[in-house]
Amino acid sequence: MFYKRFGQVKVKKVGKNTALYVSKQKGIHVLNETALFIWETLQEPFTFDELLYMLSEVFDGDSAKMKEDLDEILDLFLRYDLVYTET
Amino acid sequence: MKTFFLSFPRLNISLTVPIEIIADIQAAFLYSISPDTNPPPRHEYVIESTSNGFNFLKDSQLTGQFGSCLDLICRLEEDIENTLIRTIGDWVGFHAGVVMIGDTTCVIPGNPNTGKTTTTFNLVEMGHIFLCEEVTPVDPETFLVYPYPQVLTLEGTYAEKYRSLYPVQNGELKILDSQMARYRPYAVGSDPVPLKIILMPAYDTSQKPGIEELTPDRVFTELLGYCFPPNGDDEHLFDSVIRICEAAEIFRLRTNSLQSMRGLLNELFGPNPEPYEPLNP
Repeated sequence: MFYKRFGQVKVKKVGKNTALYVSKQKGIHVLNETALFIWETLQEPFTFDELLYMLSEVFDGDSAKMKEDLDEILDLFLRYDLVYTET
Repeated sequence: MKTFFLSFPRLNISLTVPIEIIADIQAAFLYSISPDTNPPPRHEYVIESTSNGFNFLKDSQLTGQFGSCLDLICRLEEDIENTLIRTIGDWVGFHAGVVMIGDTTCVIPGNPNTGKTTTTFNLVEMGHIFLCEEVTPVDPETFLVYPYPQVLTLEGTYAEKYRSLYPVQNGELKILDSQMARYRPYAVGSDPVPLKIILMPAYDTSQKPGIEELTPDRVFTELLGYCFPPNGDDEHLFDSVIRICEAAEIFRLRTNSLQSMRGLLNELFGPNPEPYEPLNP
């Protein structure tokens, strides 16, 4: 299952951070460092395992916690219509 | 009956009231009463005396009936706030108080019971000039804050405690009961003033007092929560608040008592200016 970005999401800079705006939701989401990495990586579709591998290449930390974080971030991305899945 | 012309940012209102409440209306809207009738009022408010109190008509429609003049004034203030929020167009309307710090402003946004109005009150009593209460219109292109100097409503018990600790010298404080006190500052700005500081009060008796500088990304979503719903599209509001966050110096003021608030405000804004000497106290 691949995660893909929705096209209508707009990227906005908020100070040194990045926020994503979805007009149909009237919502804006400020990303933390990990979420920004995932968002930028998803310029191309990737699976969960591929994303987890890339995350572990860039960030240090406990792998179980990293998996948990990725799971949570993708869950939020899906809930707020920032990404969708395709098999 | 007497008709007042009230002038607010992008909004003019005519208010016709019976003779017996003229003084109360003048006291409540003192800084908004304008001698100028141009441009013509966008809305016409009329207050009628009845056997039970007062009727409030807005543009000839009965909007409410009130047993006391204070209830009527509170409802008028609320209605004017709501009308103002709709007429400020593409400006940002913050739920905030504002004082002038020199030739710039300190905007104090917050939810009820966070210390927003008491912070504004303390800064005025420390000698700073009052600019807005409840609604703060900001032009996100120029960063100018437009005056909306309404009477401050405080808790009566807070006002009593304040008065036992410090003299009230820069405004008129009326304590009505334990629930409510009304404070009308003597020194009020009448022109738009550039925004410089956003001060976000957080009152909690169990916390350690302190000042924390905040970055735009940390404060952005919280600050959005203090905005009134936009008249245009949400994206414009988001972009405007981002611009404002990036342009302002932002601090969280953590207080646990009246004295700690006073101390931290002194730390942040330096020694008090000279107390304002009212011409007609």
